[in-house]
Amino acid sequence: MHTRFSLSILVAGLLSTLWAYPVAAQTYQIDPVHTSLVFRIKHMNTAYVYGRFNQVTGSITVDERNPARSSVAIEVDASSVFTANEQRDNHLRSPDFLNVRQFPTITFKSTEVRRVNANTVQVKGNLTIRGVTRPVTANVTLTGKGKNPQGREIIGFETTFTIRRSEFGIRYGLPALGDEVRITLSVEAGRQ
Amino acid sequence: MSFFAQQLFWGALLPAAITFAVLVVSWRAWRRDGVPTHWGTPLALALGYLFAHWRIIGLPISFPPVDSNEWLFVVAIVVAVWGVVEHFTSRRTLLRDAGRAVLVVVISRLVLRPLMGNLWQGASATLWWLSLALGWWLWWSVQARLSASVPGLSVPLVLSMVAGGGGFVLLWSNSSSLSQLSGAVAAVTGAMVPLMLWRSRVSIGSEGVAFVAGVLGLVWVNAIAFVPVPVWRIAALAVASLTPWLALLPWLKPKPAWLTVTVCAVMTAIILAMVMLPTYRAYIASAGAYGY
Repeated sequence: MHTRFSLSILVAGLLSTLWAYPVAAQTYQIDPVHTSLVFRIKHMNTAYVYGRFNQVTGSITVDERNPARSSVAIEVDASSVFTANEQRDNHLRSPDFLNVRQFPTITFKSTEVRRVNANTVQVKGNLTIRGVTRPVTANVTLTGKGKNPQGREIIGFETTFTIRRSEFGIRYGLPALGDEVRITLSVEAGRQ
Repeated sequence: MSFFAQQLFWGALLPAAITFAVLVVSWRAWRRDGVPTHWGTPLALALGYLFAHWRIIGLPISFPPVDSNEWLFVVAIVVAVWGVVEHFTSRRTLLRDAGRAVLVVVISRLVLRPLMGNLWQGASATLWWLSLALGWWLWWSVQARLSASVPGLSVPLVLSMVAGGGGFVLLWSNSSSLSQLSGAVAAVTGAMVPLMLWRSRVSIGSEGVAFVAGVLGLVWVNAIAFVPVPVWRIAALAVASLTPWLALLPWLKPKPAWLTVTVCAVMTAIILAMVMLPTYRAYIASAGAYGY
């Protein structure tokens, strides 16, 4: 009797430990309000001009025990480009640059995630701009974890990488308007 | 060389020189009863334009092109070949009209495909497609008739002016690349003018019109569909290109050629000014300090 009682306590204890352990892979939805997608491009080989996209959505699956099972899918509304000048924004939306009527979204889908160190992973994936898909690689750093005021679990990442716009068919204005575009993405995402 | 000077040199001056050189060769080498034949005209125009296109926005990165601007490169080749085909095939107007109709319907369907079911839904998509194709076809057919009815300098000069003025309209409507491509059409078409002053018996012919109307028509279709440029601005450009009809008026017909050409050019300039000025004002009003 005593042995049975001890065994059942042991099993219950083990089960509760297992349940209390976080699920390996967790999916987060990108919070567009607290996510920034900023880019910079050199103007007339002189100064960097910065702009951003105001509508970024997507999801991130994080598997801390096995980062290879993590993934990222991001969608950007190309018409949400903003450079603090309406005329320039309209020009960026035109076929000279993003051609947003034909290509309304910019997308990124990861193909491989590899841990670099405790807070950094290397993400490889396919970036599609203006209908052209090219592989890109970026180191992504965990910037924090916590809970938002509503009690929802949130997680933050940041990455900076550089692309050549000409590789995506955006060749207008070269070389006066630089080919290299440095992109910084800072994401806050809430657990589903 | 400054940025704008470079764009002007590679996108207009050199293309015009290429067209000029090819025209001289083709018009001198192939004559019929002392009059140059015109099958080389669309090829000369196309070579100059394709060079400009390559320098302005580069070669297409895939085939079929994924981008509306890249289609212009492919279509420039297609309409140049079409111009040669028109020279060697039936001169029956209805057959040519039917052929052009098939061409513009197919090309506009291919180019506008990404917008159909996306930006334009259901019947609206079909309506946009067929309306743009119809407008393009009508304009091309009218220009072909003008080239036959009004031989000489008027048609190429007016087309060159409209492509050039249209370039500014497109520039002030947020499309620099289409603006420059329109400017390239202006430059290569304008290259015919000094040659025609020298050899008054040559004309642009329906062969040359096939190239200009084919490429400029698609520039305008792209401007309306993809930028978007207000339809009235493009319609006004098309109207400005119709002034060679004036040469058929009974009171102007017997007058010297230089007077006819001048009247057509002045009327074209007036209509162009009527569309360019409000477009420029709207651009300045919303531009702020943006200077590219």
